[in-house]
Amino acid sequence: MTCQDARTLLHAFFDGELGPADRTAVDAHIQTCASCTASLAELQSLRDTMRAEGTYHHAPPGLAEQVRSALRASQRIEGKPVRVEWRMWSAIAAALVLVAGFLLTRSNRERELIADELFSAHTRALMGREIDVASSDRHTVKPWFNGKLPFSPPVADLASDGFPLEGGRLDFAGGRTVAALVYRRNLHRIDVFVWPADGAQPPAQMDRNGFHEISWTKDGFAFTAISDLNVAELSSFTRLLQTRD
Amino acid sequence: MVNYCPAALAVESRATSEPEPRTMFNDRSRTEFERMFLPHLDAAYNLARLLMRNAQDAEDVVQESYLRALRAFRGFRGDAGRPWLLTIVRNTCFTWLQQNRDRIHVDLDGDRHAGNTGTPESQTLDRERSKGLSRCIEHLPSDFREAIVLRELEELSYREIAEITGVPAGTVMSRLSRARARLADCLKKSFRSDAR
Repeated sequence: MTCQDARTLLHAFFDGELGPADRTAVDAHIQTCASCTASLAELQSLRDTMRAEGTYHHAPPGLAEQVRSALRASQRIEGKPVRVEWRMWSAIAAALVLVAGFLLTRSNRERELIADELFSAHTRALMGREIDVASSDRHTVKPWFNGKLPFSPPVADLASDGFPLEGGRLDFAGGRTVAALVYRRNLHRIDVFVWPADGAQPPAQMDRNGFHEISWTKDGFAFTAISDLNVAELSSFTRLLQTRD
Repeated sequence: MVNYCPAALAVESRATSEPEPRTMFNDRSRTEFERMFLPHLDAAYNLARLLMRNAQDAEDVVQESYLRALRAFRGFRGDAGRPWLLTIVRNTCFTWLQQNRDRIHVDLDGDRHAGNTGTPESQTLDRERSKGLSRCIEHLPSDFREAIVLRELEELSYREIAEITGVPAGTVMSRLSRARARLADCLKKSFRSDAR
Protein backbone atom coordinates (compact mmCIF):
# COMPACT_ATOMS: atom_id res chain seq x y z
CA MET A 1 0.00 0.00 0.00
CA THR A 2 1.34 3.41 -0.95
CA CYS A 3 1.46 6.23 1.56
CA GLN A 4 -1.12 8.08 -0.56
CA ASP A 5 -3.59 5.15 -0.27
CA ALA A 6 -2.98 4.84 3.45
CA ARG A 7 -3.61 8.57 3.96
CA THR A 8 -6.97 8.29 2.18
CA LEU A 9 -7.99 5.53 4.55
CA LEU A 10 -6.40 6.94 7.69
CA HIS A 11 -9.59 8.42 9.19
CA ALA A 12 -11.63 5.31 8.51
CA PHE A 13 -8.79 3.27 10.02
CA PHE A 14 -8.71 5.52 13.05
CA ASP A 15 -12.48 5.27 13.44
CA GLY A 16 -12.47 1.48 13.15
CA GLU A 17 -14.55 1.58 9.99
CA LEU A 18 -12.26 -0.48 7.71
CA GLY A 19 -12.77 -4.09 6.74
CA PRO A 20 -10.14 -6.62 7.92
CA ALA A 21 -8.09 -6.59 4.69
CA ASP A 22 -7.77 -2.79 4.47
CA ARG A 23 -7.15 -2.55 8.18
CA THR A 24 -4.24 -4.98 8.00
CA ALA A 25 -2.77 -3.18 4.97
CA VAL A 26 -3.01 0.30 6.52
CA ASP A 27 -1.64 -1.00 9.80
CA ALA A 28 1.35 -2.54 8.00
CA HIS A 29 2.05 0.74 6.22
CA ILE A 30 1.85 2.82 9.41
CA GLN A 31 4.51 0.64 11.04
CA THR A 32 6.96 1.77 8.37
CA CYS A 33 5.82 5.39 7.90
CA ALA A 34 6.78 8.06 10.41
CA SER A 35 4.52 10.71 8.89
CA CYS A 36 1.41 8.50 9.02
CA THR A 37 2.27 7.52 12.59
CA ALA A 38 2.45 11.20 13.49
CA SER A 39 -0.90 11.94 11.82
CA LEU A 40 -2.50 9.10 13.70
CA ALA A 41 -1.11 10.44 16.97
CA GLU A 42 -2.55 13.87 16.15
CA LEU A 43 -5.98 12.35 15.55
CA GLN A 44 -5.75 10.54 18.86
CA SER A 45 -4.68 13.68 20.69
CA LEU A 46 -7.61 15.63 19.22
CA ARG A 47 -9.97 12.90 20.27
CA ASP A 48 -8.56 12.85 23.78
CA THR A 49 -8.94 16.61 24.06
CA MET A 50 -12.51 16.49 22.81
CA ARG A 51 -13.50 13.69 25.10
CA ALA A 52 -11.87 15.28 28.11
CA GLU A 53 -14.16 16.89 30.60
CA GLY A 54 -15.50 20.23 29.49
CA THR A 55 -16.40 19.83 25.85
CA TYR A 56 -19.48 17.74 26.38
CA HIS A 57 -22.55 19.81 27.16
CA HIS A 58 -24.54 17.94 29.77
CA ALA A 59 -28.21 18.71 30.06
CA PRO A 60 -28.77 21.38 32.71
CA PRO A 61 -30.44 20.19 35.91
CA GLY A 62 -34.18 20.58 35.62
CA LEU A 63 -34.34 19.96 31.87
CA ALA A 64 -35.44 16.37 32.39
CA GLU A 65 -38.34 17.49 34.57
CA GLN A 66 -39.18 20.25 32.11
CA VAL A 67 -39.30 17.74 29.25
CA ARG A 68 -41.33 15.30 31.30
CA SER A 69 -43.99 17.83 32.17
CA ALA A 70 -44.10 19.07 28.56
CA LEU A 71 -44.73 15.48 27.45
CA ARG A 72 -47.48 15.09 30.02
CA ALA A 73 -49.06 18.43 29.09
CA SER A 74 -48.99 17.60 25.39
CA GLN A 75 -51.08 14.54 26.09
CA ARG A 76 -53.52 16.56 28.13
CA ILE A 77 -54.09 19.08 25.37
CA GLU A 78 -53.91 16.93 22.30
CA GLY A 79 -54.03 13.38 23.58
CA LYS A 80 -57.18 13.21 25.61
CA PRO A 81 -59.65 15.09 23.46
CA VAL A 82 -58.38 13.18 20.46
CA ARG A 83 -58.91 9.98 22.35
CA VAL A 84 -62.42 10.92 23.42
CA GLU A 85 -63.27 12.08 19.94
CA TRP A 86 -61.78 8.96 18.46
CA ARG A 87 -63.88 6.81 20.72
CA MET A 88 -67.02 8.82 20.12
CA TRP A 89 -66.62 8.72 16.36
CA SER A 90 -65.84 5.05 16.28
CA ALA A 91 -68.93 4.36 18.40
CA ILE A 92 -71.05 6.43 16.04
CA ALA A 93 -69.54 4.71 13.03
CA ALA A 94 -70.16 1.29 14.53
CA ALA A 95 -73.76 2.20 15.32
CA LEU A 96 -74.29 3.49 11.79
CA VAL A 97 -72.88 0.33 10.30
CA LEU A 98 -75.16 -1.76 12.50
CA VAL A 99 -78.26 0.26 11.65
CA ALA A 100 -77.42 0.30 7.95
CA GLY A 101 -76.75 -3.41 8.02
CA PHE A 102 -80.00 -4.03 9.83
CA LEU A 103 -82.00 -1.87 7.44
CA LEU A 104 -80.27 -3.42 4.46
CA THR A 105 -80.91 -6.99 5.59
CA ARG A 106 -84.44 -6.11 6.51
CA SER A 107 -85.16 -4.44 3.20
CA ASN A 108 -83.35 -7.22 1.35
CA ARG A 109 -85.46 -9.77 3.16
CA GLU A 110 -88.61 -7.79 2.41
CA ARG A 111 -87.71 -7.58 -1.25
CA GLU A 112 -87.02 -11.27 -1.48
CA LEU A 113 -90.23 -12.00 0.38
CA ILE A 114 -92.23 -10.10 -2.20
CA ALA A 115 -90.34 -11.79 -5.02
CA ASP A 116 -91.14 -15.15 -3.46
CA GLU A 117 -94.81 -14.31 -3.11
CA LEU A 118 -94.96 -13.24 -6.74
CA PHE A 119 -93.37 -16.52 -7.79
CA SER A 120 -95.99 -18.39 -5.81
CA ALA A 121 -98.77 -16.30 -7.32
CA HIS A 122 -97.45 -17.04 -10.80
CA THR A 123 -97.15 -20.78 -10.23
CA ARG A 124 -100.58 -20.94 -8.60
CA ALA A 125 -101.98 -19.21 -11.66
CA LEU A 126 -100.23 -21.68 -13.93
CA MET A 127 -101.75 -24.59 -11.99
CA GLY A 128 -105.22 -23.69 -13.11
CA ARG A 129 -106.40 -20.45 -11.73
CA GLU A 130 -108.64 -18.86 -14.20
CA ILE A 131 -107.93 -15.57 -15.80
CA ASP A 132 -110.49 -13.26 -14.27
CA VAL A 133 -110.91 -11.22 -17.41
CA ALA A 134 -109.98 -12.92 -20.65
CA SER A 135 -109.43 -10.43 -23.39
CA SER A 136 -106.76 -9.41 -25.82
CA ASP A 137 -108.12 -5.89 -25.81
CA ARG A 138 -106.45 -3.55 -23.36
CA HIS A 139 -109.58 -1.37 -23.44
CA THR A 140 -111.46 -4.30 -21.93
CA VAL A 141 -108.81 -5.39 -19.46
CA LYS A 142 -107.91 -2.01 -18.01
CA PRO A 143 -111.49 -0.94 -17.05
CA TRP A 144 -112.10 -4.37 -15.53
CA PHE A 145 -109.80 -3.44 -12.63
CA ASN A 146 -111.87 -0.35 -11.82
CA GLY A 147 -113.49 -0.71 -8.44
CA LYS A 148 -111.52 -3.85 -7.66
CA LEU A 149 -108.24 -2.04 -6.97
CA PRO A 150 -107.44 1.33 -5.40
CA PHE A 151 -105.33 2.11 -8.48
CA SER A 152 -105.61 1.77 -12.24
CA PRO A 153 -102.76 -0.32 -13.69
CA PRO A 154 -101.29 0.67 -17.06
CA VAL A 155 -102.06 -1.96 -19.67
CA ALA A 156 -100.02 -2.09 -22.88
CA ASP A 157 -100.85 -3.83 -26.13
CA LEU A 158 -97.80 -5.71 -27.36
CA ALA A 159 -99.50 -8.08 -29.78
CA SER A 160 -97.66 -6.58 -32.76
CA ASP A 161 -94.37 -7.38 -30.98
CA GLY A 162 -95.36 -11.04 -30.51
CA PHE A 163 -96.60 -10.71 -26.94
CA PRO A 164 -100.38 -10.85 -27.17
CA LEU A 165 -102.42 -9.86 -24.11
CA GLU A 166 -104.56 -12.66 -22.70
CA GLY A 167 -106.31 -10.95 -19.86
CA GLY A 168 -105.97 -9.99 -16.24
CA ARG A 169 -106.75 -11.04 -12.73
CA LEU A 170 -106.41 -9.97 -9.14
CA ASP A 171 -103.71 -11.49 -7.02
CA PHE A 172 -102.23 -11.01 -3.62
CA ALA A 173 -98.58 -10.29 -2.75
CA GLY A 174 -96.63 -8.17 -0.30
CA GLY A 175 -99.67 -7.81 1.94
CA ARG A 176 -101.85 -6.19 -0.69
CA THR A 177 -103.98 -6.87 -3.72
CA VAL A 178 -102.09 -6.39 -6.95
CA ALA A 179 -103.04 -6.39 -10.62
CA ALA A 180 -101.80 -9.32 -12.68
CA LEU A 181 -101.71 -8.90 -16.48
CA VAL A 182 -101.32 -12.04 -18.52
CA TYR A 183 -99.34 -12.05 -21.77
CA ARG A 184 -98.26 -14.92 -23.95
CA ARG A 185 -95.20 -15.64 -26.02
CA ASN A 186 -95.84 -18.72 -28.13
CA LEU A 187 -96.54 -21.39 -25.50
CA HIS A 188 -95.11 -19.39 -22.60
CA ARG A 189 -97.25 -17.48 -20.24
CA ILE A 190 -95.98 -14.19 -18.81
CA ASP A 191 -97.54 -12.70 -15.70
CA VAL A 192 -96.94 -8.99 -15.14
CA PHE A 193 -97.74 -7.89 -11.60
CA VAL A 194 -98.44 -4.20 -11.10
CA TRP A 195 -98.91 -2.25 -7.88
CA PRO A 196 -98.11 1.26 -6.64
CA ALA A 197 -94.37 1.56 -5.95
CA ASP A 198 -94.58 2.86 -2.38
CA GLY A 199 -92.80 0.15 -0.38
CA ALA A 200 -90.18 -2.52 -0.74
CA GLN A 201 -89.73 -3.80 -4.25
CA PRO A 202 -88.37 -7.12 -5.44
CA PRO A 203 -84.78 -7.36 -6.70
CA ALA A 204 -84.27 -6.36 -10.35
CA GLN A 205 -83.77 -9.90 -11.49
CA MET A 206 -84.22 -13.29 -9.86
CA ASP A 207 -84.21 -16.81 -11.22
CA ARG A 208 -85.81 -19.78 -9.58
CA ASN A 209 -86.62 -23.29 -10.75
CA GLY A 210 -86.43 -22.32 -14.39
CA PHE A 211 -88.59 -19.23 -13.93
CA HIS A 212 -87.26 -15.72 -14.37
CA GLU A 213 -88.47 -12.67 -12.56
CA ILE A 214 -87.64 -9.18 -13.80
CA SER A 215 -88.76 -6.12 -11.83
CA TRP A 216 -88.71 -2.40 -12.43
CA THR A 217 -90.59 0.74 -11.55
CA LYS A 218 -92.12 3.25 -13.86
CA ASP A 219 -94.46 6.20 -13.37
CA GLY A 220 -94.99 5.37 -9.72
CA PHE A 221 -95.84 1.73 -10.38
CA ALA A 222 -93.83 -1.34 -9.49
CA PHE A 223 -93.76 -4.00 -12.20
CA THR A 224 -92.65 -7.61 -11.98
CA ALA A 225 -92.72 -9.90 -14.99
CA ILE A 226 -92.46 -13.64 -14.32
CA SER A 227 -92.22 -16.41 -16.90
CA ASP A 228 -90.49 -19.60 -17.87
CA LEU A 229 -89.63 -17.83 -21.12
CA ASN A 230 -85.88 -17.53 -21.73
CA VAL A 231 -84.25 -14.50 -20.15
CA ALA A 232 -83.35 -12.83 -23.45
CA GLU A 233 -86.94 -12.79 -24.69
CA LEU A 234 -88.35 -11.92 -21.32
CA SER A 235 -85.90 -9.02 -21.12
CA SER A 236 -86.92 -7.70 -24.52
CA PHE A 237 -90.54 -8.00 -23.40
CA THR A 238 -89.89 -5.99 -20.25
CA ARG A 239 -87.94 -3.42 -22.25
CA LEU A 240 -90.97 -2.99 -24.49
CA LEU A 241 -93.19 -2.46 -21.47
CA GLN A 242 -90.76 0.01 -19.99
CA THR A 243 -90.69 2.12 -23.13
CA ARG A 244 -94.37 1.83 -24.05
CA ASP A 245 -96.81 4.38 -22.67
CA MET B 1 -32.34 3.36 12.32
CA VAL B 2 -30.30 0.22 12.41
CA ASN B 3 -31.35 -3.34 13.04
CA TYR B 4 -35.07 -2.81 12.78
CA CYS B 5 -36.58 -5.60 14.77
CA PRO B 6 -40.15 -4.89 15.83
CA ALA B 7 -40.74 -8.28 17.39
CA ALA B 8 -37.69 -8.02 19.58
CA LEU B 9 -38.64 -4.53 20.68
CA ALA B 10 -42.16 -5.56 21.59
CA VAL B 11 -40.98 -8.56 23.57
CA GLU B 12 -38.24 -6.60 25.26
CA SER B 13 -40.47 -3.73 26.30
CA ARG B 14 -43.17 -6.03 27.59
CA ALA B 15 -40.66 -8.05 29.56
CA THR B 16 -38.85 -5.14 31.18
CA SER B 17 -41.66 -2.75 32.05
CA GLU B 18 -43.07 -3.41 35.46
CA PRO B 19 -46.66 -4.56 35.58
CA GLU B 20 -48.65 -1.36 35.85
CA PRO B 21 -52.34 -0.88 36.43
CA ARG B 22 -54.27 -0.81 33.19
CA THR B 23 -54.14 2.79 32.12
CA MET B 24 -55.02 4.48 28.88
CA PHE B 25 -52.79 3.53 25.97
CA ASN B 26 -51.34 7.04 25.76
CA ASP B 27 -50.20 7.04 29.36
CA ARG B 28 -48.64 3.63 28.96
CA SER B 29 -46.86 4.56 25.80
CA ARG B 30 -45.65 7.82 27.30
CA THR B 31 -44.23 5.97 30.29
CA GLU B 32 -42.47 3.59 27.99
CA PHE B 33 -41.28 6.46 25.82
CA GLU B 34 -39.79 8.25 28.85
CA ARG B 35 -38.13 5.07 30.00
CA MET B 36 -36.53 4.58 26.60
CA PHE B 37 -35.57 8.13 25.69
CA LEU B 38 -35.00 10.24 28.81
CA PRO B 39 -31.67 8.43 29.36
CA HIS B 40 -30.53 10.07 26.10
CA LEU B 41 -31.28 13.57 27.34
CA ASP B 42 -27.57 14.47 27.60
CA ALA B 43 -26.93 13.32 24.03
CA ALA B 44 -29.93 15.29 22.81
CA TYR B 45 -28.88 18.41 24.67
CA ASN B 46 -25.23 18.16 23.65
CA LEU B 47 -26.10 17.94 19.97
CA ALA B 48 -28.69 20.72 20.24
CA ARG B 49 -26.29 22.91 22.21
CA LEU B 50 -23.51 22.52 19.63
CA LEU B 51 -25.82 23.00 16.66
CA MET B 52 -27.75 25.95 18.15
CA ARG B 53 -24.62 27.42 19.78
CA ASN B 54 -26.71 28.89 22.59
CA ALA B 55 -28.02 27.31 25.75
CA GLN B 56 -31.58 28.64 25.87
CA ASP B 57 -32.41 27.68 22.30
CA ALA B 58 -30.84 24.27 22.92
CA GLU B 59 -33.22 23.67 25.83
CA ASP B 60 -36.22 24.73 23.77
CA VAL B 61 -35.16 22.57 20.87
CA VAL B 62 -34.65 19.55 23.12
CA GLN B 63 -38.13 19.97 24.57
CA GLU B 64 -39.65 20.36 21.12
CA SER B 65 -37.70 17.33 19.90
CA TYR B 66 -39.05 15.13 22.68
CA LEU B 67 -42.59 16.22 21.87
CA ARG B 68 -42.04 15.37 18.21
CA ALA B 69 -40.45 12.07 19.15
CA LEU B 70 -43.41 11.14 21.34
CA ARG B 71 -45.77 11.84 18.46
CA ALA B 72 -43.63 9.68 16.16
CA PHE B 73 -43.09 7.03 18.81
CA ARG B 74 -45.72 4.63 17.51
CA GLY B 75 -43.81 4.49 14.24
CA PHE B 76 -40.53 3.75 16.01
CA ARG B 77 -39.43 0.20 15.47
CA GLY B 78 -35.95 -0.71 16.44
CA ASP B 79 -33.42 -0.89 19.18
CA ALA B 80 -31.34 2.14 18.18
CA GLY B 81 -33.17 4.72 20.24
CA ARG B 82 -30.33 7.22 20.56
CA PRO B 83 -29.65 7.67 16.80
CA TRP B 84 -33.42 7.86 16.21
CA LEU B 85 -33.80 10.59 18.82
CA LEU B 86 -30.72 12.45 17.56
CA THR B 87 -32.15 12.45 14.04
CA ILE B 88 -35.21 14.25 15.38
CA VAL B 89 -33.09 16.65 17.45
CA ARG B 90 -30.96 17.50 14.43
CA ASN B 91 -33.97 18.13 12.19
CA THR B 92 -35.66 20.20 14.87
CA CYS B 93 -32.49 22.28 15.21
CA PHE B 94 -32.40 23.08 11.51
CA THR B 95 -36.10 23.87 11.38
CA TRP B 96 -35.65 26.13 14.39
CA LEU B 97 -32.58 27.81 12.93
CA GLN B 98 -34.44 28.51 9.69
CA GLN B 99 -37.51 29.88 11.40
CA ASN B 100 -35.64 32.06 13.87
CA ARG B 101 -32.74 33.13 11.69
CA ASP B 102 -32.93 36.79 12.72
CA ARG B 103 -33.44 36.21 16.40
CA ILE B 104 -30.92 33.59 17.38
CA HIS B 105 -28.02 34.77 19.44
CA VAL B 106 -24.91 32.77 18.69
CA ASP B 107 -22.85 32.27 21.74
CA LEU B 108 -19.44 31.92 20.11
CA ASP B 109 -17.38 32.72 23.14
CA GLY B 110 -18.44 29.74 25.17
CA ASP B 111 -19.40 32.09 27.99
CA ARG B 112 -20.47 29.34 30.35
CA HIS B 113 -16.73 28.90 31.05
CA ALA B 114 -16.05 32.53 31.72
CA GLY B 115 -15.94 34.45 34.94
CA ASN B 116 -14.65 31.75 37.24
CA THR B 117 -12.06 33.02 39.65
CA GLY B 118 -10.34 31.54 42.63
CA THR B 119 -9.71 28.13 41.07
CA PRO B 120 -6.33 26.43 41.10
CA GLU B 121 -4.09 27.32 38.18
CA SER B 122 -4.12 23.84 36.59
CA GLN B 123 -7.93 23.84 36.53
CA THR B 124 -7.92 27.29 35.01
CA LEU B 125 -5.59 26.02 32.30
CA ASP B 126 -7.89 23.06 31.60
CA ARG B 127 -10.83 25.39 31.40
CA GLU B 128 -8.96 27.65 29.04
CA ARG B 129 -8.12 24.73 26.80
CA SER B 130 -11.65 23.35 26.73
CA LYS B 131 -12.97 26.85 26.18
CA GLY B 132 -10.65 27.12 23.19
CA LEU B 133 -11.84 23.77 21.87
CA SER B 134 -15.50 24.64 22.31
CA ARG B 135 -14.93 27.86 20.44
CA CYS B 136 -13.16 25.98 17.65
CA ILE B 137 -16.02 23.48 17.38
CA GLU B 138 -18.58 26.25 17.29
CA HIS B 139 -16.71 27.97 14.48
CA LEU B 140 -16.96 24.87 12.27
CA PRO B 141 -19.57 24.86 9.52
CA SER B 142 -22.64 23.04 10.82
CA ASP B 143 -22.25 19.91 8.65
CA PHE B 144 -18.68 19.46 9.91
CA ARG B 145 -19.80 20.25 13.43
CA GLU B 146 -22.55 17.68 13.57
CA ALA B 147 -20.30 15.00 12.05
CA ILE B 148 -17.49 15.54 14.55
CA VAL B 149 -19.87 15.79 17.52
CA LEU B 150 -21.71 12.61 16.60
CA ARG B 151 -18.45 10.75 16.01
CA GLU B 152 -16.23 11.92 18.84
CA LEU B 153 -18.74 12.70 21.56
CA GLU B 154 -21.56 10.29 20.78
CA GLU B 155 -19.20 7.68 19.32
CA LEU B 156 -21.63 6.75 16.59
CA SER B 157 -20.60 4.75 13.52
CA TYR B 158 -20.29 6.26 10.04
CA ARG B 159 -23.47 4.48 9.06
CA GLU B 160 -25.42 5.91 11.98
CA ILE B 161 -24.08 9.40 11.32
CA ALA B 162 -24.94 8.98 7.65
CA GLU B 163 -28.54 8.11 8.53
CA ILE B 164 -28.91 10.96 10.98
CA THR B 165 -27.48 13.60 8.67
CA GLY B 166 -28.95 12.16 5.48
CA VAL B 167 -25.72 11.84 3.49
CA PRO B 168 -23.71 8.81 2.26
CA ALA B 169 -21.12 7.27 4.60
CA GLY B 170 -18.33 8.43 2.24
CA THR B 171 -19.44 12.02 2.76
CA VAL B 172 -19.39 11.46 6.52
CA MET B 173 -15.79 10.29 6.24
CA SER B 174 -14.66 13.28 4.21
CA ARG B 175 -16.50 15.71 6.49
CA LEU B 176 -14.83 14.13 9.50
CA SER B 177 -11.36 14.40 8.03
CA ARG B 178 -11.88 18.03 7.07
CA ALA B 179 -13.47 18.84 10.43
CA ARG B 180 -10.50 17.29 12.22
CA ALA B 181 -8.01 19.19 10.10
CA ARG B 182 -9.78 22.46 10.84
CA LEU B 183 -10.07 21.70 14.53
CA ALA B 184 -6.38 20.82 14.85
CA ASP B 185 -5.49 24.00 13.02
CA CYS B 186 -7.80 26.13 15.16
CA LEU B 187 -6.48 24.59 18.38
CA LYS B 188 -2.87 25.29 17.40
CA LYS B 189 -3.74 28.93 16.72
CA SER B 190 -5.60 29.33 19.98
CA PHE B 191 -2.71 27.83 21.98
CA ARG B 192 -0.32 30.15 20.21
CA SER B 193 -2.44 33.17 21.12
CA ASP B 194 -2.83 31.90 24.69
CA ALA B 195 0.92 31.54 25.05
CA ARG B 196 1.51 35.08 23.97
